[in-house]
This record gives sequence, C-alpha cells and structure tokens, in this order.
Amino acid sequence: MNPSSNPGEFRDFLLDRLSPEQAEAIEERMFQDEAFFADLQDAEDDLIEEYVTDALDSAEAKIFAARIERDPDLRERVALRRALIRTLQRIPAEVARTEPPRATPVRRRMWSRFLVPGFALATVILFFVAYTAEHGNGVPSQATGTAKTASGPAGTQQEATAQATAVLFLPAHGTRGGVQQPSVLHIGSAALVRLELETPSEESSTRWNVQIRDANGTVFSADGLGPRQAGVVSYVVAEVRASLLPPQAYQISLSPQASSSGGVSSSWDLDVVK
Amino acid sequence: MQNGLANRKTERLTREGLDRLLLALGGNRDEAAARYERLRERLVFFFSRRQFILAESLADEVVDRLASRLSTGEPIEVPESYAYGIARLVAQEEGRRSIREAEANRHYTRNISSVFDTQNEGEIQEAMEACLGRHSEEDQKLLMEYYTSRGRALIDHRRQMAEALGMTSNAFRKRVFRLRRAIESCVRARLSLEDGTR
Repeated sequence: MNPSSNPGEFRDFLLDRLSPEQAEAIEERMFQDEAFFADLQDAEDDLIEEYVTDALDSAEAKIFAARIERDPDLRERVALRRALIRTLQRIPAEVARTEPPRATPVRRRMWSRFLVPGFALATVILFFVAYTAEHGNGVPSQATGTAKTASGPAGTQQEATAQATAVLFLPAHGTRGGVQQPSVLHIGSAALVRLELETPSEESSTRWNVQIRDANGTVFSADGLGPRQAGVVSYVVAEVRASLLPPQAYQISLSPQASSSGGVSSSWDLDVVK
Repeated sequence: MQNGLANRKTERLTREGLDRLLLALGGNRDEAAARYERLRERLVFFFSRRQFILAESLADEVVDRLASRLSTGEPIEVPESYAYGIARLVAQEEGRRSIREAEANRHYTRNISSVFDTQNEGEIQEAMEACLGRHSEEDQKLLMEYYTSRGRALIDHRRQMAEALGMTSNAFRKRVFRLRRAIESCVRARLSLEDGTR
C-alpha cells in the first residue's frame, strides 16, 4: 500500500463521512497519484465485500446501498462479487478442506523431478537447442551477457503453449557481482513458467533461495536446487504458474543459502509479456 | 462500464482534440490511450462518488473540455490535475440543476444502466462458474479460502495464507484482487456477448 494511503480515511471518504475539504484533498490526490487511486479502489472493493457479506453496520449499509442505487458500475461490481462468493461457496467441501497453496510443494515437486534419471540431461539439451537457435553457438559467453530468456519467438517455441522458460545465467563461481541485464519473457498461452539456472561451473552443495518480486513485493519465493554436474549446467530453479506472473516488470533474485558452501548472488530484471 | 477509446463518441471531441489529448498524455499512442483510460476511470469514480447518475457522460464532458483547451494551444503540464479542476467545475454546474432537469435536457446516447440490470442472477452465476472454471484449481482454492472465510479469524487467516505463500499481506491481497478482477472481466465479456446476440 502507498505509504500515504490511509484505509480508515478511504473508508470514511467512500461513506461520505469526511468534511468537504478532506474529501477534496483525497480527490485531488487520486488524480495526481495512480497508486493512491489504486489503493482507494481496493478500499472500495473491501466495502463491496463487507456489503455483500452483511458485515457493514446498518448505518454504513444504508449509505452504501444509496450509492449502489445511483451508480450502475458499482451495482455491477456488487452483483459480480455476490456471484463470485456464491459460486465459491458451492465448490465441494473436500476441496475446501485442502491446504491453501504453499510455496513448499513447489520445492518438493522440484526435488522429485530431479530424481527422475535423465531429466537434467534433457534440460541441458533443451537449453542447448534454444541457445544454438538464437546464437548459433552452444557455449554461453559471459562476455556477451549472462541473462536471457530462452522462450518466445526465438526460444522453445514447441513448448510455448504449455510452458515458458526463463534461463538465468549465473556467473562462474568466484565471479563478483550479479547480472543486471533486462530480459523479456514471452509467456503467450503458457500455463507454467520454468526458471532454469545456467552456470558454467559446478556450484557444489549450493542451495539457493529464489525470489520473484514486482513493484508491490514478493510474488513468489522458493528454495532448493537439483543435482549438480560439472561443466555447463542447466537445471530448474523453480516453477511458477503463469497466472501468478501477469505481464509486467519483475525482479528475480537468486542467492545461496547461508549454510551452502558456495554460490554468488545474482539478480535479473525480467519483463513478462504476453 | 468501461468504454474503450475506439468507442468514444466523437460528436464533440474532434479528431484533432483527441490527438492533442493523446499527445499531452505522452508516450506512444498505446501508452497514451492507456493513460487516457485511467484518467477517465478516475473521472467516473469522482462523479459516481458524488452520486451523479450520469457519471460516465460527465466524465466524457470533462475529457471533451480538456481536449478543447489543448486544441487552443493552452499549455497544460499535468493533464490529470487539470482534468480534476474541470471535473470540479462540471460537478458544480451539474449540481446547480436538478438531476431530473439535467436528464430531460441532455441528449445522452449512452445507456446508463448496466448490462447486469437486465440479467438475472442465474445467468450471472452461470457466467461466473464458467469463468472461474477457466482458472487453475489452485487459483480457485485461493479465492475460496480468501472469500469464504468469515468471522474474527478472517484477518489472521488471510495473513497465514500470505505467509504460506511467502508473500507480504499486501502483495498477497494484490494477487487475489488481480485474479478476481480477471474473472470479473471474463464474466462481463461473456454477459455482454450474450446480451449482444439476443
């Protein structure tokens, strides 16, 4: 939330409980600051939810109902929210009893995946094919840039419908500094985004934390890594549902866990585009 | 409902005015169009909150006047701030007449009711189920956990969900909102399509 946003004040504003001067100050600000306006819209979303679930007190509900009566757009949003909640309430009880999605299962999936013989090799081959298609050279060069994506028009087209892959190039062990090269990942109709790590050296016994952040904070984090191989190695760091990465700018950071024996922290700017 | 740039009525807003407005909003045409939509969204919000029935038409009136000022070559540094000044003026003008009188004297071509006003709950529910079904089970569970929790434990429950995903509460909330808005857009599109084919 914008530091200058005040949820309580927004609520009073939306329920016409502020003085005209206070209300005008908020109006003026919302025209100047898009993030502020977004927070205000979120506050209105909360009010809609409370109205639909009868969580407003009677005085608030009366004020809000009057607004709904006069505002077709608000009326529509109330109808949508009511429909959403009703629909969600009809989802079978056995689904409701399951745990909410967690970051850890991703890690478990990742480890189990690495237990499958030959998977690492397939990943290397996949990367090799994608890299060759784009550069005509199978060996990544640190000198020419070490952050790129291997998906989209020049990348793994054959997987585009199901998966988009971002290949993160990590400098060799001992190389100072990370990589700050902008990169674009075409997710198209991908359901899954796979982050693969490419390193020219063996990062023995290193476990990693990976975080994906947008302007509002961390949207995804995981830790762990698959088995190492000597030489040019590529392996999956994490898998993220594409629906969790709407097209916008992100920063991906990869850092070794404190207990690991090696590794160099790096971060990448990544623009996810449709 | 939102009206795309292409659907804007142009009786008053001339092509030149529109071009000047987009130019003033900066960037390439797509970026300017997006900024235009965001400005218009704020104008609609402004008039709606002040309980003007014809918020969309009044928002368009502000845009028309803003474009007109730009056409005269008047330098406007921040169009949004300038638009707010015009919006206040329009609100004052509109406030001086009764809404009934305003409705009678104006020639509005836009239907001020929502497509939802003519839709029964069953149709909305059906569209919602279809749109929700297009999302992963994980997303559905996330929404269900978020929106069907009740009572005093609600805030704690949502905080725990955010922690389980390794996210801050605010980032988690934004994610849920983005997901919900995508579903709502899908429902709107579906219902508008059905409405148009009747």
